[in-house]
Amino acid sequence: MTELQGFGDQIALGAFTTLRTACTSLALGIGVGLCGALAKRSRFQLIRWLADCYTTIVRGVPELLIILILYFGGTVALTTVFGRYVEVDAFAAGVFALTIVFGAYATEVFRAAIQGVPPGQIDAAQALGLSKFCLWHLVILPQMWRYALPGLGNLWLTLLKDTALISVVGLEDLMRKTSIAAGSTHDPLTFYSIAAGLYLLFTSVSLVGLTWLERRADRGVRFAQ
Amino acid sequence: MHTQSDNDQFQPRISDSNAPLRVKNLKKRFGTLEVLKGIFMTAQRGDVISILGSSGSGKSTFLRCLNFLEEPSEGEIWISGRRVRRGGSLAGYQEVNAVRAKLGMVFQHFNLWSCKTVLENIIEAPIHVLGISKQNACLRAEELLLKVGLADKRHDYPAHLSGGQQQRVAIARALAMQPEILLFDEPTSALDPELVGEVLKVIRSLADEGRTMLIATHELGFAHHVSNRVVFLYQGQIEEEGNPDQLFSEPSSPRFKQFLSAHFGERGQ
Repeated sequence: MTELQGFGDQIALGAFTTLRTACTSLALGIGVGLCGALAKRSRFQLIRWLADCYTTIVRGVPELLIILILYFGGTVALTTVFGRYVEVDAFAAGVFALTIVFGAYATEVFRAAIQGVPPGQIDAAQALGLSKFCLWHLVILPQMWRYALPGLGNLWLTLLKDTALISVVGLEDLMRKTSIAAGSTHDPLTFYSIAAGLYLLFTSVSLVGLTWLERRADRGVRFAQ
Repeated sequence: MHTQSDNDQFQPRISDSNAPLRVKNLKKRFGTLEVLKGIFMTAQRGDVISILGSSGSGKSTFLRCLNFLEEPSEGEIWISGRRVRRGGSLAGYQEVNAVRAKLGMVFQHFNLWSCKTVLENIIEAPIHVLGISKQNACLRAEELLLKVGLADKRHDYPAHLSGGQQQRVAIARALAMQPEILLFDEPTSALDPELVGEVLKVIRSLADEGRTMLIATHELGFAHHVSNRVVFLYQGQIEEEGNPDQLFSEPSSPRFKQFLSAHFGERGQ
């Protein structure tokens, strides 16, 4: 097998795109999830209602549909706004769609995690006169992290694999590069196995990283009784 | 209810307006349940006031209202001669925070931040609320840890300490803010009996320093020895108050008598 019949570089490039898409969506999705969780705890009913709508809709519709709707809907919307045909970049559309999806699930994970922080910890911060910003930054965020990590880890694995869906709108990711290689070499089994191996490699490394993060977050409470 | 110190109260030692704490007609309702039914209290500098009462009498709620962990439904709270108001406004929020910084609170369940070391627990508030440099905050924290006898635990996490040690750290954390008044909300109720002594010893040493303190407690013997005034709460009202010697030897309220005999009875005294 010489350089995977010339497709080695292409597949490496696709793998890189997959990782880039997943990591970007993860970073943005965590932000969306935190905002969503805060919105769900808002004093204002309208904001809570909007957040509920968001998570209900996004979690209730297949990811593939969301990607298609955002990609084609985005093209139509931008074309209307600018008055000429605008082609949506597949990477941008993909990241946007995955962020929306990840954010909706992360909202629920964070909401539960915030509720997991014992009220006494918040009492103590308030009794000392800490500002709201300090309360979140020093007390709530570091602690909710512990409760959120296992859930977030699951979401990350799903996200990593969901990037394959973006290939339907033309993102040159691992999945698409593989299927091109498989088609042109008439050797699908080899190439799909390689792709599967790569996905498995990424998820396995992630799991090791997650275990490390969880252990780090448990610092100070691990031997708690 | 005419005890010796009731009369003392009418002869102000220091002008009332400078008292660290004055509470007028404080009421707190949770829905239709009225937990505090109008509490009046003045604490002069150096007063150690023990607040007694059975569970549900409103001791904790009273203390939590003072620093607005619970929003009072009615009444006035004056800290160092200044009335504290809480509106929905940012100014109200800042004012409450400023007041909270002056009232150190120690909780029944310690409430140390589990993700931070002992030292971090103590220095965060001085750094972020008082604006003290980290270096100075650490120096001060070390002194306080020495004082509560836990200097060697500074880098430990709360979960690795015994309850008594955690509570002593919590006291150090409250002291680090250099509060004008210390509020103790049943500081020994969550401790194993053999750990109660070490915490009471620290509280007693603070009383000896002349700090102004309010202590909600079930430790009647301790309340007797450490405080110069005892307040007995019954169903959200002050049923009896006065000087501890007088109150414990000749309680006038039948409810307080009953409370005392129930407590001393179960200890076989």
